[in-house]
Amino acid sequence: MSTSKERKVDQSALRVNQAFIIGLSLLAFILDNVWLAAFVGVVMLLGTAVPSLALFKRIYQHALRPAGLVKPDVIIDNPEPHRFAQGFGGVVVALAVVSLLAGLPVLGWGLVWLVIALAALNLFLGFCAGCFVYYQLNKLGLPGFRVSPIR
Amino acid sequence: MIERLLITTLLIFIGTTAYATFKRRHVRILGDLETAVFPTPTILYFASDSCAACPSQARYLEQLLSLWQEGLVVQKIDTEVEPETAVKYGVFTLPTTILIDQQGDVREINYGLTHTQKLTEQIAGLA
Repeated sequence: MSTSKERKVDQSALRVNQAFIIGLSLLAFILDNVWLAAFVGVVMLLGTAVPSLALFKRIYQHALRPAGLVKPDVIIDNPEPHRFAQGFGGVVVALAVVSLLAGLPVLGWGLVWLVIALAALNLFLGFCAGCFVYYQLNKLGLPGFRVSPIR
Repeated sequence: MIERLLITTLLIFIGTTAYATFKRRHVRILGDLETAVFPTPTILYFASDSCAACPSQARYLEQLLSLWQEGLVVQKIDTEVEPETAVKYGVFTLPTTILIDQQGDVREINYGLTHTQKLTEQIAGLA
């Protein structure tokens, strides 16, 4: 059972992360650069497995926030659904990279655009599709999805 | 590369235009509704117990209420208790926040989690 104590998430870090994912993924598509897409996927998966290695969040913590370019926005929230969302996105990007390397550009870039669309939905409309899936799986009582929304 | 740049620009343009048009139309439709007139700006906050992002939205609204000293009414509407109100306002996602000015006119709609800073700017813009 989770309590609201020390369950805090800096929404600004999440937004910066999403902005980097969108920006770099768009750049990868425009430049037709599969390795840039792969880099985004690796950063997402690494940040999910080891949160302290989340590069885009690190840029926020060590550069953007200290410089005053982005203000922190810390609220009581569960970090797990956001991590799940990022991991899910990372898996989709990994599948996209495999498709691109296998010579399936339409599928590959389509998957990259799916990640861009979902990240944009989160960044601009505040709807985290991955978090929604996480909480649905939590409701179903699936192992590993133990955290429920903090009321 | 040029064609990919064009595709990207076109998709972003179509997406943002469609969204802005939809939102403007929603605000215009709600403009015809009879709403209660308060002496201060009002935020209708649509939420439900099954909405995972709603507690975070409630915290943002609490922050806003503590920051905004010039009078503000936040009216929570539980869509599971009052589904007809949600239908009346065309709410299709939770949380949704609707900003109403002192004349009772709907001025802004936010679909999804909306942070304090954005809400503060919108409230300031109602004056």
